Formats: sequence, structure tokens, C-alpha cells
Amino acid sequence: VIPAEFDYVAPDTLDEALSALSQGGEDAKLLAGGHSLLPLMKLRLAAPTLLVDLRRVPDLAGISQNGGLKIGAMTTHTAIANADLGLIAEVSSTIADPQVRNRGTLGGSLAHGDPASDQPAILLAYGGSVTVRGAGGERTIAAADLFEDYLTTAVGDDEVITSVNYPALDGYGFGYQKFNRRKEDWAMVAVSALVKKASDGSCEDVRIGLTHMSNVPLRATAAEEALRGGALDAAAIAAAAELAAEGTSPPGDLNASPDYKRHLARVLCRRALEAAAA
Amino acid sequence: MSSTIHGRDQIDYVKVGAKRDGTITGLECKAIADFGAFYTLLTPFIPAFTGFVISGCYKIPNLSFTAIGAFTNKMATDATRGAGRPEATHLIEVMMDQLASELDMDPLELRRKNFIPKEDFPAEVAIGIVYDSGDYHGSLDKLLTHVDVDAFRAEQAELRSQGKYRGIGFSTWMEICGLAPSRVVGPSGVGLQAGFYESAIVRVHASGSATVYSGTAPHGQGLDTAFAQIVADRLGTTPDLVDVVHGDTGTGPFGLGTYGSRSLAVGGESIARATAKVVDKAKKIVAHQLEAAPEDIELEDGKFAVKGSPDKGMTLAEVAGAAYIPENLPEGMEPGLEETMFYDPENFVFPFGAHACIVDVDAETGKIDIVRYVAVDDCGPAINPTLIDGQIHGGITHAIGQALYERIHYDEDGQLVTGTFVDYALPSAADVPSFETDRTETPSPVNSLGVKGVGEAGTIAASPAIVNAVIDALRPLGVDYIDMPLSPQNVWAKIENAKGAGVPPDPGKQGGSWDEHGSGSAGSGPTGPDEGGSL
Repeated sequence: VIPAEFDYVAPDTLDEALSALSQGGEDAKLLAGGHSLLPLMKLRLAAPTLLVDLRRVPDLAGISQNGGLKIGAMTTHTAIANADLGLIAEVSSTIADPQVRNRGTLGGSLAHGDPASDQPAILLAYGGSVTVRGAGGERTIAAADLFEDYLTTAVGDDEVITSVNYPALDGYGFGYQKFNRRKEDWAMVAVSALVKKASDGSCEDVRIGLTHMSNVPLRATAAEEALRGGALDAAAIAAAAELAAEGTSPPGDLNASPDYKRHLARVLCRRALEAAAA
Repeated sequence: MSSTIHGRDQIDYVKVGAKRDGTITGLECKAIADFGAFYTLLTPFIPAFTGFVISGCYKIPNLSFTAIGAFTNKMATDATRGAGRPEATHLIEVMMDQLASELDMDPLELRRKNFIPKEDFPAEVAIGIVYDSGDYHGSLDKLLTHVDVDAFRAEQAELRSQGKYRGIGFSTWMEICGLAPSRVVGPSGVGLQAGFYESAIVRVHASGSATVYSGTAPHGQGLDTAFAQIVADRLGTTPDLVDVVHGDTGTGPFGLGTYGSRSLAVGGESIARATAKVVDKAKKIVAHQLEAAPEDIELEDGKFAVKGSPDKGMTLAEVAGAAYIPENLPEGMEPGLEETMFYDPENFVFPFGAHACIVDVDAETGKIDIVRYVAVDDCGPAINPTLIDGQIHGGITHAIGQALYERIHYDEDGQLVTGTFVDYALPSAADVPSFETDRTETPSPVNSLGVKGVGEAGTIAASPAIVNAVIDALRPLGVDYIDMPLSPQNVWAKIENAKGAGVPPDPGKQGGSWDEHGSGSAGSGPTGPDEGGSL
């Protein structure tokens, strides 16, 4: 319940934050909303020696749409849920409870790299990216390269995610199917679908994100390929959804065996696709 | 989670005998209670309490109840909201639905056929307990004014034709509470080494305000309010002028506390009786001052006065003034206006009610959504309806947790794996529906208030209504029984297995055959007839 002793700084600029992070060494951690990190610290599963709080750093929060969509890393789930952002907003509205949504941030969630979190698989399905700043300057990491392992991302120890970037997927319908035991739980499995219909009603493009079906977020590639370029009727969707668990290795837990999760992924994929194609 | 008591953890094997017309002839239950590694406060008493109400609301002429305690290397089990009665209600009410299905009878008709009728109270049941009062038909009648079963069946059929599975479940429940007659529960009775009376001091101050010291120790039930109402009503004052003090034996009388739905029926009754003594003294003072007979003094509109002459009466403050400045008291009367009461009840009290639950089951995923929950409860005359509703709401939520979510689970190495509220699924407000509540009021003859406890009622009542509703929804798919908790994976596995798929249930599955009992996790609920061993 009580975390190990740690130092705390709240720098006023990004450069100061980067400098503090780098001086703090490998046991320094960034603090955004704190709703993943602080519980881990209280359980002593994490014991950083220094927290670098980003709350005073300007220009890290906010949403701008200019061709694509750019969301500042410190933008809260609530701010995203309240914006007119389609799938991304709907997903944010399902995260945990109002307290967590009011404090938790998009950048923090992505940097945490929890495969049970909602937004990572969405970024992956969009084919988006994150912009990070480090001592060596700025770089962009594609979503496909971001999630390396359970709670492990390609963001360096001395880097800060500054923004999250989504391509404009104009004309895409979407569906989000999140399955949990309690309303405020992490997803046992969640499936997100983005579907673009061609003028003849066939499937021009489809992207399917899978949450908690592996140690990292995944795309249901086999299901996407089965649908892309073909018909978008109920039978085609059902057939594609049957492939949703291909190539996944879901972790089993008390509430769900791997087989049950694969089953859920197939059912939820069909429902998400139906919503996205409607 | 690892070091405080666990609850429930009984496996109940039940046999019932009935005639073709639904008349129940006998019930046999063998309960295995996991005690954990050692006894805490009431550990072995919990399955005994199950046995006390094993008849439920029904006339069952022949009964056998055997409880076997098993020591295991888990944390001890003990009393949590309901303490033995939720287990009894669950096994009886789920069994009633199983029997109705077996006899191809309407489950409510079966219940009505076996209810103890109103005119039989006080009613001794085969286990040897005397139920104080009850109106089980009346309670069910009232429930059915809120729930149109025929309309529901039509809707259910329509939904089924669309591949949607909606079900309705009932629980016509009763329980035993108001702990307790000391001679029944104490050393020479059940064997608990204590008395079970309750105590009160009612002190009217010279100003006419009052302080009540209660031996109970409310922790959020709102009893301060209810106690103040009882005293104010009887003294002709208002609840805001009555302070309630509790939880301190340094200032108040020795009491036993708040548990076992006893605080009103035993603690409140001791307050009512102490207040009655104060009223008696007040009447004597008033009679003396007005030169009338004490039996002619009545309390009306906040004044103690001679019947028919309210204008010459005395307010409580005036009576208190006369008591504390004793210039003109009856011969031999002590000054002051306060009384103490120790009250040991003659019997328990037996609340009851009828609950209905409507659920939707997602047959593809096993997920359950409670669409409607209607509760009609009877805890005697209502002193504070809002507090009663609060207790019922919380109690049902607690039972929804038991039925659908909560489970203490130890893995095969004996490691507790539900050690936090992340893993131990306690439902929040977001997971439960808005409850619809109503009441009937059947007074108990046991106490002067006529009241029965309500703190545990919802928890005792609700789990079978929920489980019966799920089974009702899934009968067309061949599912006729499910163990709690009805996690999505458990429900899905049941549906798949009914199709012959051979899917294992989730890893926390409890129960199993007679030989394997106790393996797996804590939780509650009987083992299914399809998987239970023989008695």
C-alpha cells in the first residue's frame, strides 16, 4: 500500500524533464496520470527512485486535426472521450472509471504497454505512430514497432512520448467490442474494427485490432485479409471473424482460459465488423 | 484478503421427495462446510444456521440435515452478511425450480402449494424452530403486481425466436435473525459462550432533549436515525432532539453489538422498552401534578394530558423539569428521568419476501445482464422506509456479487490468487441494475415494535432468483443447473457442454463429485445434480 521511497520532481519544460530523466538513470520513471504506475508502486512491483512528473510541461496535451489526427501525450482519456473522434473517443469512454479517465493519459497508457489496455490496439489498427523526444532529438515510432513485449515498448528510458498520431481514415465505419466481467475492469478481450466500404458495397479496407490476445496488442491479419477486397455481407463477415484468433497466443487467467479468449475474439470480431460495416 | 475471514464455502447435497402433485414430503441435505485452518468467532455455527432454516417457506414434514466441517489449509470461514442463511435459501430456492422442472409444474404454483399458510403462524417446522409470523402468499401476490409473468413468458418466447435468451427467476425466501434468545444460542443451547440480549439507557435531560445509549454498534446502517425515531415517537418529541450514543461500554450499558440483523429487533426493542419505562414514569409525574390517575394520562400532540383535556397537558420538557427539580413528585419517586433496559428476546424473528429477477444471457459469450430486479420484503412495520431500501439495495448487490462475480480462489499450490480487488471481482454500482422495491408489513409477535431484521435480507434472498433466472433463460439450450459464481466462462462452458462440446469450466470451479469436494475455490452454492455424488 505504501510505495518504496522515491524522489520527485515536476519540471517546467520538456528539456528539464529530459535532463532529469537522464540524470535519474534507469530507475527514473515518468509520471503522467499515474493510474498505472502508482498502483504498481504501491504494490511494490515497481520501485523507481525518481519520478519525473510531466504535469507542468506545456504543450503536451491537446487534440489537433490537420489531415491526420494528433493527440498530445498528456491528453486525458476524458478529454478524448468527449471529443468527436469516432472509434478513438468511444474506446476512451470505456476505460476504467471516471476517476481514472480524468487522470489517465493516452501517452501514459501507450508507454505502459499493457496488452489489456484499450488504446494500444486502436493505434495499431489505425497504423498510427508516436512522436518521442530524447536527448538526441525527436523521432517517430510506428505503432507496429512500438509494442515489443508485455509492458515493454520501443520508447527509450530517456525518451518522452510527446504526441500520438493517427492517419485520417476518412469514410471508415467502426465498431468496438470490449468484454470484461465488471464494467470497470480491463478487457478480458477487446476487438476493434475499422471498415471502409467501396462504392459497390464491397470491402475496400479493413483493420482489426485485438486487445489482450497476446503479450502485445495485435491485428487480426488473417481476418483482415479474408475480408479486404471482397464482399461485406453477413456471411463474409462471419467467415472472416472465424479467423480472428489466428496467430494469437492469449494469456489465460482466472476469468478466461486461452481457448475461451480465442472464442471471445471470434464472436467479438464478428460483432465489431458488423457494427463497422453497418 | 488473505488474512480476514472468508464466507460461504459450503457444498450442499440435497435430496427432495415430492408427490406428483408437487406436495413436498421430505428433504435431506448433507452440507460440507470448509472451515479453513482454524475457528474464528462463529465458524462452526455457520452451517448450523443453514440447518435452522432448511425448510424455507415450506411445509416439509420430514427433514434431515447433516453438516460436516472440513478443516483445510485456507483462511477460516465465518459470518459474512447472511451467515448460513444465504446457503439455505440458495439450496432450497434453486431446488424448488429444479423440482418444478422435474414435475413440469409452474415454479410459483409449486411454491404456493407448499407455503406455510398465514393462519399456521406461529409455525413450528420440522427442525424444531418456531417461525414467528409470515404471509408468504401475500408477499408473492404483491410481487406479482409488479411482475406480469404471462407477459414475460410471451416476451421470452418472442425473444427466443430471435435467438435471444431472457429468463426469469424467483426466490420466495425467509430467514432467521434477531440474534438471539440467550437460552437457545448460549452455552446450554447452540453453545456460544455469551448472552445475546441487548441493552439501552434512555436519558431525558432537564431540557426535554434525550440521549439514548445503545449496546448495539451501528456501522453505517442508519440506526441512529431509526433509534431516534422510536424514542421521539414514544416521548412526544422530535428525532432531532434525541442523541444516540453507541459503541462505548464506558458510557453506555454492556451490549453485544450489531450483527445478525439484530440491532432493531433486539437493540431497538430494548430502546423501545426503556422508553416505555420513561413514559410510565412521566405519566405518573403528570398524573400527580394534574391530580389524575396515571392510567388516564395519554400522550397526544406532544403533550402528556388527561384523556379529553389536552389543553391542560405537560410537554416532555415540562415533565423533565418536574423530574429534575423534584418539588412535587409522587411520594417515594426518585428524581430524574432515565431508564435502563436489558432485553433478551423470547424468540428469533423471521423476515421473508418474494424476489424476481429477469436476466439476459448472451449465449455466445456466457455474459449475464440483469435486466430487472424486483424485491418485495417484509420486515414488519417499517420504521424508516429509506433505511430499509438502503439495506435491501446493498444486500441484493452483495448477492449479485456472490451469484455472478465473487470468488476466493486458491491455486493448486495453496496460493491465494484473488488477493486484491483486481482479481476478486466485487461488483460496483455500474454492474447492478436499479432495484425496484416494495414491502408488505406483517408484525412479529416477538417484540413490541413488531419488527424483524433487514440488514441481511437482500443477500439471503437474491442469489437463487438470479441463478434461477439464468437457468430459465438457458433451458432451451439444455442447461438445467449452474454453480456460482456464474462467470461468463462458467456459463459459456455450461452452454457448450450442453451441446456435448466437452469444454472445461474456468479454473476456479468448486464442488465436483462427492470424492473431490472442497478442491478448487471458495464460493457458495450446491453442486449440480448432474455432477454431485450420492448422499
